[in-house]
Amino acid sequence: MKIFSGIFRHLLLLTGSVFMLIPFVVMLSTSLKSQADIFSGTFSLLPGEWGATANYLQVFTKLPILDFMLNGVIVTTSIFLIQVIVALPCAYALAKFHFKGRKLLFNCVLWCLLIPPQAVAIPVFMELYSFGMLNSYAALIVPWTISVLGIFLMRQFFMAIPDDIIDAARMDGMGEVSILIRIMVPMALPALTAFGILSFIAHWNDFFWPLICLQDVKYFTPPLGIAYFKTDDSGISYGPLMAAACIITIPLLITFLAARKKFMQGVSIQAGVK
Amino acid sequence: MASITMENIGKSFGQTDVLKGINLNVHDGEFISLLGSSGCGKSTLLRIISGLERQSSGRLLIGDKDMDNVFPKNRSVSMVFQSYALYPHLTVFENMAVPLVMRKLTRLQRLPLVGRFIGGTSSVRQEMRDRIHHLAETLDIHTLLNRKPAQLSGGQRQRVALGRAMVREPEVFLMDEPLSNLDTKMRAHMRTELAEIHRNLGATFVYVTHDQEEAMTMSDRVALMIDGQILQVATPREIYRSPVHRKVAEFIGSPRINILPGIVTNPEIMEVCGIKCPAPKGLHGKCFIGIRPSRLIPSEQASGTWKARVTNVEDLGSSFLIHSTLAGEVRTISRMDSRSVIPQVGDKIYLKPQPDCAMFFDSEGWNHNLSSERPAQDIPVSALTFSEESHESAIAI
Ligand SMILES: Nc1ncnc2c1ncn2[C@@H]1O[C@H](COP(=O)(O)OP(=O)(O)OP(=O)(O)O)[C@@H](O)[C@H]1O
Ligand SMILES: [Mg+2]
Repeated sequence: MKIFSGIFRHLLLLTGSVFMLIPFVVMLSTSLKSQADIFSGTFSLLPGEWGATANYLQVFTKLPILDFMLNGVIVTTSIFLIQVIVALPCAYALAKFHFKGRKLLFNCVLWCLLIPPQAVAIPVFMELYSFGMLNSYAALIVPWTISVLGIFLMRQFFMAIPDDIIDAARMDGMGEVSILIRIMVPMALPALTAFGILSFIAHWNDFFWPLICLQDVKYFTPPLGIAYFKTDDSGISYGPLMAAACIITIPLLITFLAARKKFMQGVSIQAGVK
Repeated sequence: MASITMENIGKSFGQTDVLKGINLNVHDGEFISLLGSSGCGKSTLLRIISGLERQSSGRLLIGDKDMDNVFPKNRSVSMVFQSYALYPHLTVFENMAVPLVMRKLTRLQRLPLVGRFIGGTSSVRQEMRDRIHHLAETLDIHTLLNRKPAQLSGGQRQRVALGRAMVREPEVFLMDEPLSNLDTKMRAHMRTELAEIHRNLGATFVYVTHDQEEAMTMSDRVALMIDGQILQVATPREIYRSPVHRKVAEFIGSPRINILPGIVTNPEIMEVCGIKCPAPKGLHGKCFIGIRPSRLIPSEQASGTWKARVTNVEDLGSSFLIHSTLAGEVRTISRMDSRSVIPQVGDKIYLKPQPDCAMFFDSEGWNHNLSSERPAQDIPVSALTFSEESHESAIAI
């Protein structure tokens, strides 16, 4: 009985993970095939006709992919840094200060979580337009600097830090800013890492917003950049497109693998405190 | 050094009054315990002294300085928390360094990397290192300096918390049940150690506990708190021998004092559980007498004693506790030496109070001996000759 349920559980998980993995596998395998092989009508995992060299070469010759990636790095790190600077004090106040309207403010945070970014895209666009900020790095960064998800996540983690520790810090002579920087942030590092990864993935992969607010190729982020292949006159060249897609997922993979342990701790909120 | 003066301190959280007019003088260099049951407001009072909480009314002075609007960090006060509240991400050394770093170094000097090159930083840091190492040695934690709190045992954590409080040499130490998370043996050990530390430092200690044994063994004086009020402040000896109120008598002493209800029928004659005895002057109406368990022991003689039935016998090794029931379902506990003849459950015994041991409490619970206007006279309980008459005949008198 026990063995059966074990097998069943693993089978279920296996199905799930295969389902999740298939798009990536197809992406990878397509990036290795030649155009003819891709349109051959039959699907095989391994390339029938090797096209990898040509595909990947095309990515680097036809596209300023490194510029796109640099843009991506600039934008995502700026977004994350400002998000952290905004979210930490907010989360600290919401978690540990007792003031009138705290509940209401926190509810506002929760409600904001429910607003899809697409819903406010047009107003934000108009706003940026009236400030003359469209088509710039600022246009990519500014709308994302206040992350309610970040505030919520950090607040939840801060809640789990015992009040006594904060009181002890106050007795030891720390001001509130010192407490935040010296005590709360180091203790909440797993949560911060988790949030960092979520933020990085979201904005690295974002296609929608850059598409709306950018015209100048100079500022293009990776997803927008590789969409170039799609709009080519010669139809869609899937091979190079998938090769580019593979390349821009590499930074994501590296970051995630490097921070995996902290990320896991951060996602399970209670960990790391005791 | 510093004395602490509390004048009529009150604290309410919303509707509930947690502290109701606390008046207390803690002398310079004194070890005073705040003793009370759970939820009576001990921690709240301690937090007010520390400055973490602000009183709703009243005045707090530390060393004759009014502490209104003085932040915790600007008071010469350290606190040891019940949970120890060590910083989990810092090593023992770093934990102990925090109070010094925050006080001795300027904001600029504290900066990572840059701070090192600002004049004087390195000499101050060296001084701090020396002091921490020295203190760690006296606390016997010098081998643990590089560990994180999670890698320490409860007793070790407790010492680190103590070290962090001691390192900046404050004038006042506040401790909130610092030993309650330790096992019995460790607790007894730390008790003597704390008393020693107090003697060596000469600082003022305010020690919160709900354990009377801790309070009695370590303190110069004990302040007994009940329901947000201080009922009595006295030396351990005095608070045990002459409690001002029935509640104090019931709180101090283990096992609990026997309280027997009585009524003064005629002037200076009272009836307690069917036995008539002389009452002290001025006591009238309903009243209570209190007799410690070790003073209420079985006797051969049937006259002038209470008839009782043994309901339970507890063997404590060195002594026995005899639980019995008197007439009118009044329960009593007697403590007997283990070498005496121990009655069995169900036995009928006679209980006799020893001379000079009864305390008289009036109908509101105040100790009659102490509350009367006359100087606290010793009621010669030895003169208490219990009459042989039964309840009925006593009423007939
Ligand atoms: N921030 C607060 N808000 C509302 N009520 C509080 C607050 N802090 C304490 N209280 C209440 O005040 C009362 C006294 O609390 P306090 O912590 O001082 O008790 P204590 O004597 O230290 O008890 P214990 O021995 O359990 O630690 C309790 O009834 C508690 O519920
Ligand atoms: Mg408490």
